[in-house]
Amino acid sequence: MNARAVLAPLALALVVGCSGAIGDLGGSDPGATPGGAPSPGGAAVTGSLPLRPLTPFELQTTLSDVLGDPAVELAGLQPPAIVSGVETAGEKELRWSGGRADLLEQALFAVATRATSGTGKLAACAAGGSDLECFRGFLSETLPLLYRRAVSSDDVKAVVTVAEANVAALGRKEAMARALESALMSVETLYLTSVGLQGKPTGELSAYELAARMSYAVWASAPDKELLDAATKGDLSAQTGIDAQAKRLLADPRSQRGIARFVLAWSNVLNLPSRAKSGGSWSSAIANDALTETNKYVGAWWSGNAPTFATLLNNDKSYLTQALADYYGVPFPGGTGAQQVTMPPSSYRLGLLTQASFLTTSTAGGASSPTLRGRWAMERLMCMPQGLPDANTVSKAPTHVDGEQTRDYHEKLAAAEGCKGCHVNMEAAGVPFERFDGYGKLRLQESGKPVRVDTVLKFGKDADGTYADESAYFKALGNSSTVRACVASYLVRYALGRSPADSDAPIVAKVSEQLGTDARAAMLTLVTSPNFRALAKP
Amino acid sequence: MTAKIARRSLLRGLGGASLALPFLASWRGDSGWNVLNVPVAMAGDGRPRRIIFWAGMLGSLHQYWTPKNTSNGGKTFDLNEIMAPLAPFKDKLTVLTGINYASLYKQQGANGEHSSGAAHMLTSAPYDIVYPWDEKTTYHLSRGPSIDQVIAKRVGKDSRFRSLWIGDPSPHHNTEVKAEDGSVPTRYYDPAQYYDLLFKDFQGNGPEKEKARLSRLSAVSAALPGYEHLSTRLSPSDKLLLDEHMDGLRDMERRLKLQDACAPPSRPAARFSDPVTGGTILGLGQGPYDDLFSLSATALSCQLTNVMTVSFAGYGATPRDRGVLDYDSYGLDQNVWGGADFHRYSHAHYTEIAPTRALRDLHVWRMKKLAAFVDKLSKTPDLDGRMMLDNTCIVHVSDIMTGLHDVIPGQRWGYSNTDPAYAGGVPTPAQAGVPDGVPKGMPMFLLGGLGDKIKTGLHLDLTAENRYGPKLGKYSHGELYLTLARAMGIDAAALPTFGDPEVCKRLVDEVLV
Repeated sequence: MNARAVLAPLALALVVGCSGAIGDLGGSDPGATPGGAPSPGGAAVTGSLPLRPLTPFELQTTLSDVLGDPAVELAGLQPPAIVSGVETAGEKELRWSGGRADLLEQALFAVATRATSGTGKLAACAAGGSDLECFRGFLSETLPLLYRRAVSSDDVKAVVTVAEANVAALGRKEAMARALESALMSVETLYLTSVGLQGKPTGELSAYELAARMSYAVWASAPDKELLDAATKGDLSAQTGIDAQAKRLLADPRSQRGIARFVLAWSNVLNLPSRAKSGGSWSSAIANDALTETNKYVGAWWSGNAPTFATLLNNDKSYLTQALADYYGVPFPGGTGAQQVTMPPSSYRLGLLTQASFLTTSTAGGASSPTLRGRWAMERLMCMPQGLPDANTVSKAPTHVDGEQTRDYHEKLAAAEGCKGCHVNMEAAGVPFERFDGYGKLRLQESGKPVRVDTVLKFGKDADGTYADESAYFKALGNSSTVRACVASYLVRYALGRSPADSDAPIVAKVSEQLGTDARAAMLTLVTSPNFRALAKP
Repeated sequence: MTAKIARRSLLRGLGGASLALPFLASWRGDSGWNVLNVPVAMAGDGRPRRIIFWAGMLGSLHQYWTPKNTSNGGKTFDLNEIMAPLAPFKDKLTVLTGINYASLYKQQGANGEHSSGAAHMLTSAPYDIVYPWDEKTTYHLSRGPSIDQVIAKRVGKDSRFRSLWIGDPSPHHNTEVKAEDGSVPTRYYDPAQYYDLLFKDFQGNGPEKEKARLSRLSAVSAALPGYEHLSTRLSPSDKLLLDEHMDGLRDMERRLKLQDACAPPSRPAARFSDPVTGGTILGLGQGPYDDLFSLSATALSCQLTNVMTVSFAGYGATPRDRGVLDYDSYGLDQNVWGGADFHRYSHAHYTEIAPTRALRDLHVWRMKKLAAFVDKLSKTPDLDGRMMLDNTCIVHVSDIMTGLHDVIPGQRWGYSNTDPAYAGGVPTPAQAGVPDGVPKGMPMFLLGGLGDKIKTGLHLDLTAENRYGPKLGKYSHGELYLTLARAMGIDAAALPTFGDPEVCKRLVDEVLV
């Protein structure tokens, strides 16, 4: 595909505005540009800015991986923030200003205390011995992973000194916890720095910075020892070394976590835990099970044979708990926790976009919303962002009539003067979801009539066409080069931490193409590209 | 002192949300406080500025007050007898000669007396005369707020106390301090009650919490250094991000360190019952003020407020009872001065040697008390690593100009004209042998650097220019107060003028750094 053609949808997204009577997504995309387009030079997201705080999720995975404790939790942090489809550290999370400093400090001390109390190496150090040699050894191995660079004896000494200052008053265990806390509070643990090669205006990341960018893009976590060793040995200065490490990272199960985090943000499903919905049989337990379903679904897709974007959207295998299976009305195979389930055709659960997590976060209340779901599809699948209506436009919206279906009303909206300019497209993209209400529950009838899900897309894209039902619609979306190009632009933005520039067009084009054949190969292309190791837009 | 102005505002402008301070809630509740949840009002440059209006009432005696041998543009001078106790802090002093109550003179002419002076001293605004007790006893009420309350309202939002006010319980003081809503704050004069206000809810750390504090401090301090290399290589916006992070850590470190300076004393005894007569104390006394000043210094070191007012008076006090002076050594005519209070001495003419000396020594005694208070501030580390005095400004003010209640040279006024002690008329200064006893303004000085915002080590003679009338000097005291408000970080948008705007038209640039 022509590179400029790949970027065209994104460019169009930045200039095309549209007003329509749409609802409130209730907190999704805080700070997003109107329409939710990826904003050039926008907020700090995963990747390339010279200094950015880790997201709470990244910090949690980092501490979990480095300390070897999968149950690490950072208590009291704000829910994740999504800016234009990409998770960001946001303004309210890991900033150490005002009273948040106390909150974060307490959370990190709890992590450090837990590390001295469990069964790991630090706990063993804390439990025995008459000096701090064991602790010193622990730090020599751990600090490089936390700081994402080789450390000096002075780095270790600075932390050991804290333990030495407190061991008499507090004992070994708490003294070590305080000392580890000081390392966890350091700028080098909490921020990703990308300032390049000092004294060499090459415009490229240093080897350690590249290692960190690779690991956070693929694993959403810190580099492991092998990756840091590769940086130390200079392996990341050569393309072959970069390729080898990237392949290793992608083959590691931790890559499931990284790609799932991208998909959850792009689909807005990350908003699910913060979405306070009540009604029907929806509950926080179902919400948790629904989030688990999507995480496992994406992970299984990623680790499967040649995952493509089409198979991300279209797959009848999913992962349900007993409660979620009951919620969906599908047979549960037995066992505890989430189990793989082949969805029967009668469930109409066809893949990612028919999961309760997505269906719930894509509406504002208990009712379905062809407008909001269509708006999401236009923004995140077609890169055609939609604006918000002004008061005058809202006043032109037709009124509801008792007994009409949701679709009936939205067809009136899509035909109304002053509204149809936007709603004709949003509704067309949103009505195929109509078989599911705002809680993601299947409904075949509404207001005593069968629910209709057929649609006609006329966007001037290769996804245009007449679709009899959601199955045909999702298949068309999965196979559309326009949609893949749009999703590729989000993926590039996630990995690079900035909006794609003209110079990124070849990479976006390649990633787009590979999303049609092998998504892992697409990610490999991305993280091994010269653009990925550039400090800024090349 | 609007907290964290520049950098935080810029960060918000870059897309940030407002900065919550959740720990504030903890001390506003009923659970008490300790140093770990005391909010600290810091200026944008990270310095905890504070201002104290120190009202040494009964005027002064200029022949013993005005610095001598001033030269070198005011940088060289000798302290006179009354201010001699402040000699250890001379390099922190700015003595102001020629600041006058121009707004008061506008309203009442050259006459001066305690009640109108007290109402005007901190307000610089016109007053109304009321008769709260009978038809003859006037009581002056200012129409405007006092400068301490004006500043406190603007800088004290996050402080445990927006302001504190201590002073003896004389009714004269009732009109000195007034809030912008017309209310009069509580003036504390009983050390025990003052202690309860400040420290009753103080929660000591105890051994375990103290160990935890020290260990937290060590961890936070260890996380601080070493990022200079980053800050020089970051983009401006990312440097702001880093600075904000480091500010958050430094704030925490400061609060953890605060414990070392904040050590509340034991509760003093109630002192508002007169130890001699059993009646209510109506004036100064050794013990009560020592306790009040000591508690105040501790309150400042605990960062409980950034604004204080001290009404250090003497109305109604009898020196013998209070043990302030060696009363019998002055040879006072017992028929005239026996049993009299310091207030009576302030009506003596300077030719009346015995009461004048007694009054001089009262002023010296008060300066010794001030010096002891200042000494504590000068030896207590502040949150920015300097000493507290470096970030504080003590503003000495008074209700009247001289012991004679003069407002221009040679004038005498007041009921004391009929006092038997004044029979025979008034000699000229030359006849009295004190030709340099000519007052040149209100007895005012600034003590402390206010976080490098004001010049110190100076005697500024501002009498050469008279902007608001003959002998009224270059500046009104309202202009001085507005200048100090600016130094506290209050900009023109928050406080465009102060007091009577007709005599508040420019800042006292000579005192600003």
